[in-house]
Amino acid sequence: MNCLEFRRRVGAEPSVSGDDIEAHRRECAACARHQDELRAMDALIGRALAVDAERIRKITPRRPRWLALAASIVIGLSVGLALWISLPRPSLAREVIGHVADEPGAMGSTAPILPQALADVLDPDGTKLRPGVGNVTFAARCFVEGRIVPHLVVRTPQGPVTVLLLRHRNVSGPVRLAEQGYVGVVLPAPRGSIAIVGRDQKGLDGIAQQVFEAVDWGN
Amino acid sequence: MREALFRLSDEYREPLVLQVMMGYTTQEIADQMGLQRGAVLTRLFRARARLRQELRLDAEPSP
Repeated sequence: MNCLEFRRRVGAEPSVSGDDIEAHRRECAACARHQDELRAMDALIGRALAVDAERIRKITPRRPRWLALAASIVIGLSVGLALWISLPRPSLAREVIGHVADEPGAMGSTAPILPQALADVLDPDGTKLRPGVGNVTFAARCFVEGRIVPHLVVRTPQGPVTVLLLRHRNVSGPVRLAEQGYVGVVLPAPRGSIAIVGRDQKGLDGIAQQVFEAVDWGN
Repeated sequence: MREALFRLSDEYREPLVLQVMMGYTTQEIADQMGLQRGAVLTRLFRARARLRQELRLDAEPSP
């Protein structure tokens, strides 16, 4: 195992162990220190999220041990859920553009994908894309605003655009996006909304309209 | 740390919280989020990389 592979593995799972991990730790002090730092960071994360749970436990009256244990589990889960729900939601623009920026390779794709690959992404929501708007060169189901949404890249004659079908997100009118060198628009759709993001503002509204009209949202 | 955590986008924060706070395995997170395990590993890696970056930036004194 080399340093790159080691750091990929421990970056995703700092608690990972095994013969190959331990062998690399012995060989490379810098990587061993890196893993230790990540483990320490996880402990900090755990403590940061547990603060409120601890406060609630302190004001809970004493009960039999088994009841206290059950209560602490319920409180822990409830606080975790409450923390989760109360986490600040980034703005629509940041979420959409952030997702596009995280996958720069998607916008750069040029080869049309197979019709079945497109169907695999759209069918779960009963959506279809009418032909004629351009070649679809990327299709995936991605996590945006806590929901799994279809993410397409369509190569129009004016250039590639990213299309996100946001069934969960209603907007009352067009929302303009411009961040990190990307521009786009979120349009109200028959089911939620649709985000169209490109690199160039010129012609974007026309492309957005074409893409919008090409989407069949189903029933 | 909490603020840095909250600045992460949901797609990175959710698997991290599930792993660190709830003790889910990467496969369980993948099942929960409807993702391939590889995508979960990528998100966890990126989430930690961003947190490390944020915390380092936070620690730097103001000019």
